[in-house]
Amino acid sequence: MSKVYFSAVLAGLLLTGISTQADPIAAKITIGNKTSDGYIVMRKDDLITFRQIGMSSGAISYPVDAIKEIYFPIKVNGDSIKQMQENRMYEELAATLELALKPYMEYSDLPTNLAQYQGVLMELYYKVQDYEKTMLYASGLVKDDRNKELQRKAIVFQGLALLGAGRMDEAEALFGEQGWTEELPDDAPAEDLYITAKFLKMKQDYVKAIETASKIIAFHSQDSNWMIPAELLCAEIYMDMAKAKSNADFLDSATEVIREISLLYKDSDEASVAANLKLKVDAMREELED
Amino acid sequence: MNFIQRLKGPAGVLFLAVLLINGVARAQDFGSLSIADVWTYAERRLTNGQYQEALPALLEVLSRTRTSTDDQLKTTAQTCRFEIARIYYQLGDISSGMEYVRDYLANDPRPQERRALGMLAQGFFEIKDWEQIIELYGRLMEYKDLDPDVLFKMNLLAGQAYFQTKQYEKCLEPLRKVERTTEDDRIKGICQIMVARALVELQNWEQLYAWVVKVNRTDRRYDISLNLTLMQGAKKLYEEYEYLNALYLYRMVLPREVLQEFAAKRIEKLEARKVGTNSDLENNQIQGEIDEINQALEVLKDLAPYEQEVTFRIGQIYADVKRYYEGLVLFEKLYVEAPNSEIGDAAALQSVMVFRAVKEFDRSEARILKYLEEKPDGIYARTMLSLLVRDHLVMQHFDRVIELRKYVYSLPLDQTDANERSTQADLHYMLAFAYLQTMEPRLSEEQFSTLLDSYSDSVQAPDALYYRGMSFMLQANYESALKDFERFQAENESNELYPESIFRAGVCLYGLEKIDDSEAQFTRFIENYPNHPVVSEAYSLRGDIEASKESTTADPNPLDRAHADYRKAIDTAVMPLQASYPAFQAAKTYKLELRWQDIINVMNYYLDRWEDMADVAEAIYWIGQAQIELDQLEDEAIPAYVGAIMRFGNDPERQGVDKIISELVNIADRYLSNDAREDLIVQLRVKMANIEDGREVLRLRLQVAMALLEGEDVATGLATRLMDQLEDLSITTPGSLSLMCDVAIDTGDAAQMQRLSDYFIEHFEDSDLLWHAYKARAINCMDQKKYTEVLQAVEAAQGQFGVENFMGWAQLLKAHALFEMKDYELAEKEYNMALNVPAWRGSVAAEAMYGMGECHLALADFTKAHSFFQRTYLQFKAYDNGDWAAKGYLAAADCLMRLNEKEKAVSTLQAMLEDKYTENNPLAEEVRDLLKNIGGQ
Repeated sequence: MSKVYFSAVLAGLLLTGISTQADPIAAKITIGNKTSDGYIVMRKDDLITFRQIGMSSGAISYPVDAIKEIYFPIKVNGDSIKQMQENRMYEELAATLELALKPYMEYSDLPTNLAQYQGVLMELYYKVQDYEKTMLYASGLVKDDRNKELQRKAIVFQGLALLGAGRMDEAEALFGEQGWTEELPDDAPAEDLYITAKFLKMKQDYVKAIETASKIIAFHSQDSNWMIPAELLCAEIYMDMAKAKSNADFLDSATEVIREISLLYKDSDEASVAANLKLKVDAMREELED
Repeated sequence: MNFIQRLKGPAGVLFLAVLLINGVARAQDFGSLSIADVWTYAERRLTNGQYQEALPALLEVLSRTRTSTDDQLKTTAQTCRFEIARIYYQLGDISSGMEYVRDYLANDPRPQERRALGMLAQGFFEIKDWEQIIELYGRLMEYKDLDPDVLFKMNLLAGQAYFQTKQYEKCLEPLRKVERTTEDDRIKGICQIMVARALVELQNWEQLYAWVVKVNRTDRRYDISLNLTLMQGAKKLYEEYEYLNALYLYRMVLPREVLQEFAAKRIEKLEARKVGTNSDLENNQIQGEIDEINQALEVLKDLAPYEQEVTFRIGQIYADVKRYYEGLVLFEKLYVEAPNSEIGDAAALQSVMVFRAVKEFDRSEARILKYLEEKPDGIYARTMLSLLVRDHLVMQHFDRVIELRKYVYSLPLDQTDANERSTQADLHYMLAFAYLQTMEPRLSEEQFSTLLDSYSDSVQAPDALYYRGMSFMLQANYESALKDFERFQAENESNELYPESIFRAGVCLYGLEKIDDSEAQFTRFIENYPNHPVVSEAYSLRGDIEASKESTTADPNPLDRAHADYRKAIDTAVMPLQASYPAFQAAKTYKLELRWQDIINVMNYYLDRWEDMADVAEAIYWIGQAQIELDQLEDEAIPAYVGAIMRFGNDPERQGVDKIISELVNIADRYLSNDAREDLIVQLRVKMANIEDGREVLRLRLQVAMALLEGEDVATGLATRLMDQLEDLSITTPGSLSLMCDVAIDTGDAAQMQRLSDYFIEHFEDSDLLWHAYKARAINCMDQKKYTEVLQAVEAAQGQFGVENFMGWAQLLKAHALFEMKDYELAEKEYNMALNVPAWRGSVAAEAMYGMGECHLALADFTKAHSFFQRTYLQFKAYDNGDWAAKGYLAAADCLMRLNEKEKAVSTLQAMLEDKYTENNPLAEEVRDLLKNIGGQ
């Protein structure tokens, strides 16, 4: 997960309690070049009824196509979110955000500021391996082309979630569309390399998988978003190779990667996973020696 | 209360009001004003930031108060000194400012002493007097409750001073404090970089790494001096073999163009800020930063290209810690980026090393071959070729090693380069071994000779001499082989092959028929190296020598010594083949002496010693042979044979089983009644019906056994069916193959003759039945008029089977081929040789005699030809239904006609018609026609 991205989101959050539902919803709506403060009174199909503050004419209904953007004042407790993040309470954090977004979910298909929070939820659910929810959020973000970076990330997480959920055919179709099944050049984006490596691992083409993942390590060593997951992926692929080829040398490779993860990324989620992998490596080594 | 403070009272207010009403005196003209007036003037300008204008006034006040002893005036003087110093600092005239600071510090009172000390330190910083800064820092740190600004500034100055004086440990704390508290990004950056550099100097890698990880999360990672620091640190670590720590730092180093790009953008932003500022101070600061960046850019520009070296080092580190593929992708990148550079070459080699480490030999080979094609004169061409050849040799891909020969000769060689020469010698050595393994001793000899002639100083030369001897030996060139082994012994007494060279010399002497010398050599070897791995072979060969000796009065029992040697050979064998040879040799010699029980004993001894690794089938064959002779046929021998067939028959490699089958048929023919024979066939049929699936080799063997027991026609029928139906010959064994070869010969089926003989020879080269394959091959070649190949096949067959009774065909084919090649004299010689083998009396001799006649006929020596034809019909009329006699008659008559002896010719033909062996021969009709034509009837 992008720590920089997440912290940017946290920085924008306010220190208040969580809002309740049912009342008209405060919002800033932009139609054309004009942005107005007011309340969304209701939504009926493709019409949104909005009452602008300070206008005596009352509420006006607008077709959703005409709305450029809606900004909701989403209220979450920044400090507690930060703490949950630091304590790796991802499920609790997701639940908190879901609750905060709940009043606005009716409008999630529209261009709103919900996208950034949905992006966070998408990553959180992936982290806790709730792939269905990951895909739920990803599929929405994929359609929103206001933020190309977020859109691209959503496609990546969609692919990762499909893999995680074992929906291989769909994953393969998506990967094919995105070119994540081919050999990628050295300067391909880190996320493309990562997901292609995962795909190749799934296909048990371990040599190509490890070479692809290695390109992240080699050429994107400054990208902390993908380096750590890539390191972990390398460890897993080396373990697969050791088993497939009955070659304990690859267990040495995996051990080395695990060691580096433990030293470099001490308190990360990946370090915990790596510690568990170490136990598996030891067990595999015994088997191979037998 | 000083003057200024008094001004603040009511009187002061009045005073100021008067001043204001009267207007302010002109700046330069202070002479007429009072101290208070001048001071007021100065104060106002200070408040407005007009430092330059305030200065003269302050100087004026100071000049009037500096020597005063009045407390108030002294305070005023001190204040002026302090403010003057500040102004000079603001204006950038540090040295003047420092003068006043010193002056301030040398006088009383000094309420601003700490700040003054700070200013002094600042001054020392400007003139780079680090020691003074450090001293001041020490003084200031004794104060409690320092002003935060002063503390901040002093930490900053002291940190830098410690750094500049290489007191790296001491600089850390002050710089870290500043870095933590400042909000000035520039200062933060300076501190971060200095701390990083100090940690590099202190080689405190753990702290360095944690520090840099933190710093690298900011734009500081683009700082040129930081990157240079990281490279410096990484290099030190790498040189101290701290690979992992080096890796951590190398990974953070950014490429030159990234650093340059960021620096350019930073300068752009700073230039924009300069435009927007009014403050000289800020302007100077900004310009200072721009200058620093430009300086760093210059350093970067002048730096030798480092990216590739960093990439290479990172790759090496990864490969060293077994992160093979991480290293590989870096090496591959380098090779693509810089294929014509040294580092590109080195990267190519490293890629190969990684491929080999992960056992991707195909990719290793592809890379090596690509390199060899693109850069035959590349630094690592020969090294890579050597690796490739070695890999194939280890994997026993000998043909592939031989295919790589062209590179061994085509790569340019610098004879003055010792390493290159050494590698080249190694290549010849490995190539020689590949030839040895593919049984091309002449070519291996050639390679060893090259090594000995051109690289006699190489480490391989001594062993090459021994193995060249082996190559000669395999070509039966015992004389040259012996020379090499003797030279080897003379020059290499401490070589581990020395004992073996003694043994091999004995083999050569044996080959040269110097039997006594050979025996002595084997004895020498056995006595000196009783535990050597090949001592068993020495015993076997010495046993053979003993067995070949005639019994004399002086030495009545050489066979006893032979048997003793064979037994020792079995005892000392380290592999099954070493044991089986003497075991069966012993059996053969016992057979000569009719010592049947001894055969049984030695076979049991052999089986006990080697158990499942023994050639059990062959042993049982011999035991059976002995049991037959001991009249234990139906109770012991036959059940043992059948048992061996069932037990080992599914293994095509157990050729003893085929031998047992042949012997079983032989026994049945010679000893069994029809009923007993029939019982045996039924027994085998029952066994075949109960064979599990998957034991097809056994099934086929039983089929062959039954067919042979049932008679020649049945066996031929089986062979014909097998020939047609069996596409996959993997279930065949010598027994079935020999039947099929014979049928293929009889039917003239060239394709089958080739298929069967090729398979047979390739898979069962040691089989006693292999002559069937050679016969099929030779006849096939004869039919195709490939006479040279005929001779080769015959030579191979005769080399293995000599003049056994079933080998007459080989001698005849040899002679026929020579005849067809028009070498009539040699052909005649070969025909004649066939006549001298007692076992071939009969058809073979008849054909040979006839052949000799044909040779003389071809040489137009009709008289001699006639005499051979005559002998044919006189001596061999009883054979082959009189065919040869009939042919002899006709040919003799023809000769007589050529000699113009018509009457004798007619007599000859008439004699044929009257000869009861030939009168009804198919050729008789032809003779009758002939006689009519020549008027002899």
